[in-house]
Amino acid sequence: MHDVPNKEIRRVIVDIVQDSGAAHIGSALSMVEIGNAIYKSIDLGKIRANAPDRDRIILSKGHATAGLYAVLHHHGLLTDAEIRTYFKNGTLLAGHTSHHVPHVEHSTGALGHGFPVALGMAIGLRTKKSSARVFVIVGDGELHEGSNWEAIMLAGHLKLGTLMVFVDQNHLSQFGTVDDCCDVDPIRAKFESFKWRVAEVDGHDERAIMRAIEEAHDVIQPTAVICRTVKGKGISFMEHNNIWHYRAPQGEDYEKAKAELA
Amino acid sequence: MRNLLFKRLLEEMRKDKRLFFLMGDTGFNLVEPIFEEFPERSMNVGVAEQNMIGIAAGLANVGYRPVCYAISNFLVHRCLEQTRNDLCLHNYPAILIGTAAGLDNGALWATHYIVDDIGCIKPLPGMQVYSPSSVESMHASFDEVLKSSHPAYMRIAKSEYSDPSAPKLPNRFVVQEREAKVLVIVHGKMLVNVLEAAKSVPGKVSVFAMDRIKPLDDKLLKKLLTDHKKIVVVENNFNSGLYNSLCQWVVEHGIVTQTLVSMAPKEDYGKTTGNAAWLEEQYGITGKDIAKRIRKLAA
Repeated sequence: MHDVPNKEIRRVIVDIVQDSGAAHIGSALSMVEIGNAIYKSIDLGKIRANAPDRDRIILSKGHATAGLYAVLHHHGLLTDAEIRTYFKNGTLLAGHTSHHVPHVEHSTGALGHGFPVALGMAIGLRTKKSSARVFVIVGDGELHEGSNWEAIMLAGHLKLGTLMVFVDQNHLSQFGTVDDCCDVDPIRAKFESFKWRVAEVDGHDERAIMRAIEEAHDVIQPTAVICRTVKGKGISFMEHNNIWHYRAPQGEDYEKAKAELA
Repeated sequence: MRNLLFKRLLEEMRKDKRLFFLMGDTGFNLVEPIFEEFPERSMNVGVAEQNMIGIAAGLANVGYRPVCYAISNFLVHRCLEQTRNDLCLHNYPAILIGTAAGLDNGALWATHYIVDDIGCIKPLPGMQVYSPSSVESMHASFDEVLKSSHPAYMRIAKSEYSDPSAPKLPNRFVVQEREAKVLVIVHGKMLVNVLEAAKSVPGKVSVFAMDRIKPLDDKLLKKLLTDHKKIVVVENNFNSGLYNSLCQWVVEHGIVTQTLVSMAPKEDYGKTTGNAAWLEEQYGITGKDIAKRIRKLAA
């Protein structure tokens, strides 16, 4: 088995998905390094204190929320007891991202919403003369939603350098490949034509993502980081296999997944 | 009414630094003073209403009170999911100001007049809905919206109707006759038609303007619907608007009224169109039509 990063976070994802029977484990495993790199790059003290000038993070591809919750848990922003309630009756930790969860800024799930909201945060923070940054994670299939492009166009026009988007490009959407359904490439050229800076990285190379975040400090244009990812990353039989958009690992599958992440 | 509301908004923006004005490339010769005086707290987001509502949510997250302005069609229907998920789900107190209400834009065709906005937006949790029928009611409605911590939709008609002597409230009697046989409940521009009707049936009708469509006032409704047995609801919205709310309220509260009827555009976009007056004739909601219905009920 190839080298798997962030095994601890991935084990938590597998456990909470197995325990609850939730869907979307492939999407959650796809964004782990993106989420973790962002949380490693920001001032967590301000997040914990809910400080007005904290950085804002939105997971726009809200179906991958098991990944976000596992990252929050990894950084001590969710407790063991809290994360174990994921997708259970009476939980705050729903199957799509909820702002009722501590330290989550915005509820998402319907695709194409997070980007405009992130843009509004960036506009508001700049108006307040705050240097706080706004990070939004979108899926490549999510870019089919036209509302994203309204936000991309305006952010480039406004030169909102404090706004960063991470495109989790795993090439899979619900029904098959993004490329077969409606190819979103070339994403770089699209963003550049909308007046954005663009970086491209291995989406499972946390250091590369953190470098991209560092390099986007004090720039004039907003930055898009195209993250080449693998849906289901870290568990061999889930990688590139869209059945894991829907299925939760049980029995033998669960044991195999845990063994690969040991 | 629209001009006066924007003058009022300018005054409020001077007092409240949280107010942030957004518009979807509309409001020529109307909103310019806001942009001139508050360039940092106003933005034309372009022809992109979904983006405008998302931006409003983001602004609210960082502490602003967004005011979003567009033609009602694009403010309500185009971005309904953004309003639901990004504003109402988070209970962000954004203020949505929609103009060209009801049949105001009739001649521009069904894409630009709006008779299905109230029924569309009022089910959203927390969303308050106002349809001012007079300049004074517009101010009173805006007062309530500003004091509220919930999202609100204000449906602003082209009407300039003013009644300085009336109580400064969104919900109020405009005509109150002791021996009235019929009560007309109305909101927005249709008050003008109802008052024309009331003049031709003196003494037979009371008129109540219910410009705050949501939330309803239980105490007030209990009295109104107990005191009056024959009620006509007049609106330039499909009967999925205020009429629908009142029917539901009556059933839920077990109030028995002898008659509770709607005078509203038929639930159809039709094929032909014309100006507001022409469409009101087609839909049977002119002053004459309303007077005829009152006479029939009062007989």
